[in-house]
Amino acid sequence: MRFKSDLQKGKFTISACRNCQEIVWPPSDFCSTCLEKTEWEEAPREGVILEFSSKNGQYFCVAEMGDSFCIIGRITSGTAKIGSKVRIEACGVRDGSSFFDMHVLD
Amino acid sequence: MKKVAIASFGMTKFSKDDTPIESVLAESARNLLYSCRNIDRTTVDSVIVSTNSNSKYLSQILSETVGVVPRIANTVESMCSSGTNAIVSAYSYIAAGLADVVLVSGAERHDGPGQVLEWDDSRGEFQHPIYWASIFTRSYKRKHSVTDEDLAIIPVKNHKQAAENPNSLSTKIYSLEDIKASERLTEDIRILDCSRHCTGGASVLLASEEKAQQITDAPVWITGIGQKSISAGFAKNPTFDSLESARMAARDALRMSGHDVDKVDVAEIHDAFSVCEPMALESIGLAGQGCGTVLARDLFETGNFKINPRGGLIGSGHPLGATGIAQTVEITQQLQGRAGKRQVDCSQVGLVHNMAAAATSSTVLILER
Repeated sequence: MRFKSDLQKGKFTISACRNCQEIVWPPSDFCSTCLEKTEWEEAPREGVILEFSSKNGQYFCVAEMGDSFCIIGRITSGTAKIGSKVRIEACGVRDGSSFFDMHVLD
Repeated sequence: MKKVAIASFGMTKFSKDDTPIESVLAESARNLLYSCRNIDRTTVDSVIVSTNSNSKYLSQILSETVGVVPRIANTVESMCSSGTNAIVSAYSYIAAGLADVVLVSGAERHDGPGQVLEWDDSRGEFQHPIYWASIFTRSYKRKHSVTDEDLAIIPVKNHKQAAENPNSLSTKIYSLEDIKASERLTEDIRILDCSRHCTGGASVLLASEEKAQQITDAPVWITGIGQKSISAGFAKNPTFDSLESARMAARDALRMSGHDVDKVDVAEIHDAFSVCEPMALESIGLAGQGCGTVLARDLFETGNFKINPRGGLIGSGHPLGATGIAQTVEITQQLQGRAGKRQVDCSQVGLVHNMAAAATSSTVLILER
């Protein structure tokens, strides 16, 4: 799937349904609503923190990206607060898992 | 639909042993059959295995090992709620007339593969369950002004109750101070907030009314079933401070049984982490919103084993494929008045809540004498 191959190159690509005008997440070759084939596009890089916690001082959060879908990412700079805007600074595959490094914007 | 009863059960002790999965399955099924000599094994129509193990053909292997030649044999996998999902399948076979007697056996090894859902890209690198549990805990504490100390009563209570369960992984009792001082895995989760993966097995024999009466004088009836899958991905949970799948499954199960939640005398709740117990109690309706830890503290201080009498997942251990069946065995024993020092007096109606993958799905069963 293109999501994984692009992510390995550091690109966050997402599936979208032209018919429903919706992002399809988790990434899929077809739309879970209308079942038409999806197309791949650049994912929104900015989102809002819905919740967060930390491990050994390293914060992680659930962020809603582009008013559309949620992912868990690592906060690499800035202070985590509910409702703060974040931006994905880096993404890729680390130890076999996808990763999203986020910077808090405000 | 035909009525469906739990006619017999068998357990293994939960441990960290390196026993092969086939042997764990066989031991709980053997204990079931051995303890109830009224069972004619030629009448067992179906064998359903519940596990996250990658081992193959387990229901046929189990059948051969315990001397059963079933018409239907298959394996159910649904992460942590595999056990109750297997029971629901068995119930359906009997209710529909496809089978009269079904053996349901669940098992897991301590090193089983079931705790991580690799498919869920929304979790990113935070695949281990402690991360979703941390998000739930943080969100629940904020929403209801609950503290870490409030939550610590859950493992204190459940370990105390597990000490009366001869099949528990551990019988060690912990104080509030022990919980609070235990190693922090994340800012919001301590190690004693967690259930532990282990090796263990549990079996139940489900039967139609006619067959159940031939097997036991104390059948326990499955009178309500509710199931709900919200999604597979963690981040599609509509909130992180309540368990929507549990709320919907409990509503449907209670409606099917014809009971209000206040008729529930005893309940097994899926306390994978401390916060899951109050969240489930509130979502099911056994406690008011934000009052789950208050109920747990009251039960602990009065020595009332109403919630998680066998010690829950935190106290007794969490062998994924066996957990939902072990919960059902406990409620069966409670309703039969056979729970020993864990007995909740005058139990007539019991509830089992089993969930999977960060509460993206739940199963609730209502059991009655």
